[in-house]
Formats: sequence, structure tokens, C-alpha cells
Amino acid sequence: MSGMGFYLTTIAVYAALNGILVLGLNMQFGVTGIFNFAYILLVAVGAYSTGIAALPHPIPGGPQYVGGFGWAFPWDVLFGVAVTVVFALGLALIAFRRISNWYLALTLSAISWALFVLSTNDLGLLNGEIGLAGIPGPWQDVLDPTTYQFVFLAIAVLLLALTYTVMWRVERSPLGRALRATREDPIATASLGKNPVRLKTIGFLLGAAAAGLGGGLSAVYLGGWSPQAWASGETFVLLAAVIVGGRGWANGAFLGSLIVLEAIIEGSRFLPDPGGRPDLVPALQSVAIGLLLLAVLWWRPRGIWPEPKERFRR
Amino acid sequence: MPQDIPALVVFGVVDAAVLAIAAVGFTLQFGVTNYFNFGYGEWLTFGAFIAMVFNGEPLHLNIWLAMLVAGVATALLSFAINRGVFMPFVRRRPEPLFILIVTLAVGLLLNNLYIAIWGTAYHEYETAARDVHQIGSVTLATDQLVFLVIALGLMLATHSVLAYTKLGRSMRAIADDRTLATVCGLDAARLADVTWLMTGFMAGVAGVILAMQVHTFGTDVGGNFTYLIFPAVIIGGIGRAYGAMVGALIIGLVTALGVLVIPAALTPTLIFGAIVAIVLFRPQGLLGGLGHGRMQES
Repeated sequence: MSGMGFYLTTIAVYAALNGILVLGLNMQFGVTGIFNFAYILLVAVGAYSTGIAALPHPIPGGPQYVGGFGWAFPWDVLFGVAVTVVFALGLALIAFRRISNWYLALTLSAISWALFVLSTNDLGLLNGEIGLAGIPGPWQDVLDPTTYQFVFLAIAVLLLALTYTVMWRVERSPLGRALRATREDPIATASLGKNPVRLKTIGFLLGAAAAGLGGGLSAVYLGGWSPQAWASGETFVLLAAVIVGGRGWANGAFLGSLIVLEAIIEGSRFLPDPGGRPDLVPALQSVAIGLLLLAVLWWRPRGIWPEPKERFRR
Repeated sequence: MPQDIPALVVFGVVDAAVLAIAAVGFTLQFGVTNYFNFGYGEWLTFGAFIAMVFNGEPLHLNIWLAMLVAGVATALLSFAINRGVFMPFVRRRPEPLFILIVTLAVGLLLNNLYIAIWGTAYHEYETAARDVHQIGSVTLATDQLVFLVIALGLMLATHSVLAYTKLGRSMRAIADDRTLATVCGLDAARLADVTWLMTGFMAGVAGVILAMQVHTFGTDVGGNFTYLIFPAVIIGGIGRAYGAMVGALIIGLVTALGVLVIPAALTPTLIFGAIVAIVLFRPQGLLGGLGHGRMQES
């Protein structure tokens, strides 16, 4: 396969994986209205647990991590999704009953940071700063690189379609209406006999499953996962995608992931390299995302492709 | 290694000093404006880098003077951002969601502008070699003593303003009940201006002290520190200046004394545990009243 073909399929894989992540965040933030500023923590839980499920048992003298089950695809990724959902349930049980949106955002980001710092320390948990490496991809050992690239693309697109279908169907279902009602007015929702805490937890767990799936797939595709992959700025980029595209429904959020994560971040790879400043292009990327976000909030507060208004049949 | 408890306590208090300045600034901003400034860390970074500019080539300003300049510059930046970005957004889109995202976006913009201007290299201030003081079994540098004095001074100043001036009464009134305070004729916009200047100054000074504490610093210095500011504020109770001081002291002491019971690498788990415990048992924070951070909807 030519270099360009390889590049294009890689971009397509990233688009699919980012799409899964953004759909998950949209379910939590856009549909259910949870200000989850720690979404990347869930992604990281999915990626790390997929990694420790896929990697062989650690040998003395090598990188040290917990687990090491040596499971093949798809069991490693499924394990990652399961662990993420359980972890998210723990967070929900601790936080949702007691604290409100702003405070939740602050608390979740503080929790995420504490766990982030913990993961950078070399404690034999997740191999510290270096992270997990050599995570095998699906059938990577039996396929030639070109076929592998297409097989992975097929898997990623298929799982994106699955995630999209689930999210879309939930959004259109009575459950989706209840979730949006919680977002708009928790007290009114409670007065109609719906439990806002339970609804929030359901939306949070649905999103967490997508976060775990996207994180797990990223770990097997990249072949590794380290603290660098989930610095706190990453949540912001995903959040920007959801808001720019149109929060609250899958179509808008996916459009946002194409604009912010593909057009801006991948597109700027073609910019000429300013001599000796490798940090300049990523910095300007973030400036562009920040300005775009402010512009969207100012002129199109519901996003470029806003969530349609609810219509009721008589 | 023999554990020297008095020394650890003193180091914890020094860490708490800078944290307290930053956390009080953050919490006062919230009290008066009623939204969290998630970009707050970049205020500190701004202070740290302005001090670097004045401290380095070609001015070689003394670091303490540079700190003062940085405080004033950060106050002006803070004022300008509030007037230029936050206030217009609050007026146009009053829902909390928007302003929350706007503060995040402003933080991201500032941070990346710093990177574009100053790069990702690490910097260090030009400071003369300092004397070391031996107090009992504790060895302290002059710098650290000055940090303590500055922090104490700023805390006392905050206390005096809040407790004894009309301005402070207005600030407390608006933090307690925004609607009532504005109905009674308080000029919320003017109060916000003063608050952003005041907290900007504190953030700038805190940024310089933080940068001196860590010796070599980059553009991530303030952003990383917010993750100690948030726990301090959560533990103390949001919007409460005294709560932020208590929270800062707790975080400082917990991280310093934590090494007695667990390896230093594990101290973040103590902070994590403290947050979880507070959320479970006292969600409004140690000094928080009802209504601050409590879940109102269920």
C-alpha cells in the first residue's frame, strides 16, 4: 500500500474511533447534561484495562503492570468496556446523589487528575510514565500490514455504526426523552415520578461504555497507552467537538468530531513546519479550536447542526 | 530515612501558603461571579511568565519586584478577560453551561498562546543564592520564609477586606444571595470588576511563588496546579474564603505528612481519598453552608 493510502486509512480509523468517543461524551454531556470534565479518565480506564487484558503476563525485569491475561481480540476490548462501566458506576454512586453540575465538574476533574498523577508513577500498576506498549491488534500476527489496516478499519467502522445505532435509538426512545428531561429540569422530571439520579447514572454508563470501547480500540490500534495519551486537554477537545457539532443528538456530535478532530487537527498536519518549533502547530491548533468554540457559543449556541426540536403527534 | 515530623509540617505549611493564595483567589471569583473559572490556572502561569520576562534579559529586575509587577499585570489581564469575554457571554447566554465552557476555552486559548510565545522549554528565575535558616531541627531558605509572610499578609488582607469594609460586606452578600443583593442595590458589575482585579493580583503572585517553589517551570505550571486548587476548594467549601484557607492547609499537610505512611508516589491517592470522603460525608465542604454545591434538584 502506498504511503498516502496508508495515511488515508489511518485517518479513517481515527475518525471512526474519535466518533465513538464523541458519541459517548454526547450521551453523557449532550443528552443527559452531566458536566463530565473527566471523560478522558473513562477512556483511559478502557484503554489500560484492554491493554492489561491483551498483554502477556509481565516477566521479571520487563515492564511491570497488573494483569497480563494474554486474551485475544475481541475479549480484551470487551474486558476494557466492562471495567470502564463498572468504574463509571463507582463514580456515579459516589458523586451523583450528592452534588450538582458545577461541583460535579470540579470534583470529577480533580479525581481524574489524582488518578492521572498516580498512573504516571512507576508502581508496577501500569508501568508509569512509559505506559503499556506492544498491545497486539486484532489478528495482527497473522495478517500482512495492508490487510490488517483494512481489517481494522472495517472493525472500527462497524463498531462506530453499532455505537451510533445504540445512541440514536436511545435518544429516540422514551428513555432518551427522560434523559433530556433530566438535563433540562431535574426537579420537574422528579415531580413526574422519574428518578433523576438513576437517569443520570444510566446516561453516564451508556457514555462510559462508548468511552471504554473507543479507549480499548485506540489501545489495540496504537499498540500502547501511556499518560501522554490522556492529558487533561483531551477531554476539552472532545467536549469542543460535541458543542461545535451540536450537542444532544448523535448526528450533531458526529459532525463535530469530523470538524474538530479531523478537519482541524488532521488538516493542520499539512501546514508547513515553522522552522525549529514543533510545538507551534499543536498550540495554534488548540487556539483555533478555542476560537471556533467561542464563535459557535456566541453565534450558534446549540451547535452547527442543532438538535431538532421535539415534535409531538396529535 | 528517619522521618522528621516538624520539618515535614513546616514544608507542608509552606506548600499550603502558596496553595492558599491561589485557592482564595479562585473561590472569591466564584463567590462573586457565581461561576467557576476553569481557566484559573492560566492566570497563575501568566504571573509566572511575566515575572520571568522582567526578571530575565534585559531588565534583570529583582524577583520580588518582578513578583509585584506580575501581580499587577495579572490583575489587569484578569480584569480585561472578565470585561472582554466573560461579562459579554454571561449577558448574552446566562445559562451556566455556556460560561463554564467559555472559561475552559479561555484557559485553553491562554495556555496555547503562552506556548506560541514562550515555547515549551523550561525556565528558571535569576535569584541570588539565599541564606538558610536553622530553626530547631528545621532548615528553611529565606525565600520560603518570605513566602509564608506574603501568604499570611494576603490572607490577613483578604480577611480585613471581607470582614471590615463595605466592599467585603457586599462581596459576602452577593456570594450568599445574589438576587437579594442585587435587589438591594448592589452594583454586581462593579463588584465583579474589583473582584477580578483583586483575585488576578493574588493569582499572579501565587504563580510567581509557585514557579519559585518548583524552580524550573514551563507553560503547564499553573494548569497542573489547579488540580491542587480544586481539591482545596472542594474540601474547604466552595465560595468560602476561609474554607479555601483551611482546604489549602489540609492539602499541604496531607501531601507533606503522607510520606510518613505511604510512598511519596502514592500521595495523590490521599487527595483522591479526601475528595471522595468529602463528597460522601460533607458535600458542601468543611466550612460550606447549605446551598453551596449541594445537589438542589433532588
